[in-house]
Amino acid sequence: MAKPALQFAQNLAHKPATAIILIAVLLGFTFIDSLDLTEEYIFGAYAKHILFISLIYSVVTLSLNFVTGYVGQTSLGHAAFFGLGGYVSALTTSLLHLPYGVAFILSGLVAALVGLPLGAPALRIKGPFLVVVTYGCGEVFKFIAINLDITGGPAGLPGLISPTLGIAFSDIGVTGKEAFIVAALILALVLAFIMYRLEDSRVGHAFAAIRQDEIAAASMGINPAYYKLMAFVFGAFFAGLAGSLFAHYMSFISPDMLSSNESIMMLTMVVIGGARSIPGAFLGAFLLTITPEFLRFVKDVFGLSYDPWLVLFGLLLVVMMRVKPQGLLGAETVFRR
Amino acid sequence: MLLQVEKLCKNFGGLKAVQNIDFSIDSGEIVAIIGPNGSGKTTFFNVISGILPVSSGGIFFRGQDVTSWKAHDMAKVGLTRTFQNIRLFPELSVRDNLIIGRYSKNSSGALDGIFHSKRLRLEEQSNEQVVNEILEFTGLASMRNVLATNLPYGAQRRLEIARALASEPSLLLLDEPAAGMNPKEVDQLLALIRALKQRGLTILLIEHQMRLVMGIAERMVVFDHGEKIAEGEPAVIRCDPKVIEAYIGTEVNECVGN
Repeated sequence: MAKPALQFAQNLAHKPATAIILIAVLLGFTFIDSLDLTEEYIFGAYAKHILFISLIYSVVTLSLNFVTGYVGQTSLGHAAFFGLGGYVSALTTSLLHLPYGVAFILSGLVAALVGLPLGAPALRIKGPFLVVVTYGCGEVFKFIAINLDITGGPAGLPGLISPTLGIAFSDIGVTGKEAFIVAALILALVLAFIMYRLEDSRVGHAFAAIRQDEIAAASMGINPAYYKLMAFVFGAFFAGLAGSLFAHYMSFISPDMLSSNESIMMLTMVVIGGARSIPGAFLGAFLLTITPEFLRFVKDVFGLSYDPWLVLFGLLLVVMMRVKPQGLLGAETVFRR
Repeated sequence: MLLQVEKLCKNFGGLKAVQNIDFSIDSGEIVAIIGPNGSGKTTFFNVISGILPVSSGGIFFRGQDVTSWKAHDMAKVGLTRTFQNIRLFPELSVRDNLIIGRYSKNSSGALDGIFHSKRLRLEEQSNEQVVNEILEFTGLASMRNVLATNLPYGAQRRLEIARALASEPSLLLLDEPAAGMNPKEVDQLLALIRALKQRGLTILLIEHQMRLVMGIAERMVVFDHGEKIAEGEPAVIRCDPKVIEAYIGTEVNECVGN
């Protein structure tokens, strides 16, 4: 079963037309069901919610690919930028009363700005040491959010604005938030396009060189520090934007968004989908968002006393590492031009 | 003077890997550094190419003080090197390795990449031309799309030189280019270095194979225990008693007859 799914995803990656049709179907489904407030509406709203979460994680997974995929540095603190973006835009709209558009851009910029000094240790350390440092940084962010009054402490900040941009169909639940699904989709596609283009530019070539042999890269004139920071800052910027969309879609933000569980999940999405693979990032994000939801039904139907997802998750990781360590759609590095 | 080194020292803790080396190389020269294992040859290369920081002394490239420059700065002004233990980009094809060699000759950034700007396209065109020419010149054209990691050993060594050439260096440092090569591959390498000399390239190489060194070097520098113990023409160096004792071995008698 895995093989046809894989081929499907690969085909999708190579045929933009198929991808566009799929996206159109997804969006059509998103809007049409909103017109009809019958029983199916409940499922429609739920499906839309899952779609949004999957898209947000696609953006996050793509953004983490800059650091983990392109320059090959494992970061376990990516949720820090995701949460930071959320808090920045929450505070911009609720304290400063600025429009959401401003808050959105600001969330990315602040995350990027904070990513700059945080990327600095990544210049000096590698492997497990970097994992520990990034993990620590992420935890620091979480405890700052828990202990500050301005961030609402452990309870977080409720009642964030969720602008509709005039494409909401009602104000019940997520049916008022189609704008966010569209925004997340656009953000994911824009980011995917940027990465697709960057991969085969001089910058992408520098990333590939640094990942494979830093000393050889430096002897060819590539400044590894510059590109590692660039990858960190790009990653932080887009994670911040995604965090902003997520917080305002939920109209609520709490320190949970900064937790190390989030960071681990993000890294797992990259690894399972396949580092550096753009369709892989989408696949990883959708797979790891939809599967646990699906297994929740399984749990209810069979009346299990435990969540089968955690068992399967562990098993999935072990099997993946054994069978396909490069990820489902692991990319080879071939310069296209 | 293309490269000038004054009283260069490199210490690792208490170990004096390179001590008080004075050295210079002029445009168009081919100079070889020889010496026993552990005599500081590769450390000397690492220091002048900016990979290791200098402990004391000075390095001047075309009269400019480059003592504190990093490797990527040195590459930009035209000093490119190869490595003793081959350092290719293993997952990239032969052609893509050379494209990375072109890095220092290009200038496009992230925005050029995203918008596929005219600058990027012009760079790509000229890169393609230069890369094709170098692939022909180094005899790697038929392996253009092979991943570097899958190349035979001799071809990997040649690819490292080809990648260095792609950056159009003014000074090429070769660190034991013939290490591990069979006699046929050494002959090919010899021909390649001679062809490079014809093109007017300045080459500084470390080499153990005396056959290769005697065949191409115009001047030799001998290292022992981090110090320069001799310098001169190959024929003179071969008969220098200090060099014979430190490196070639005392059994050699052929100089006596000359």
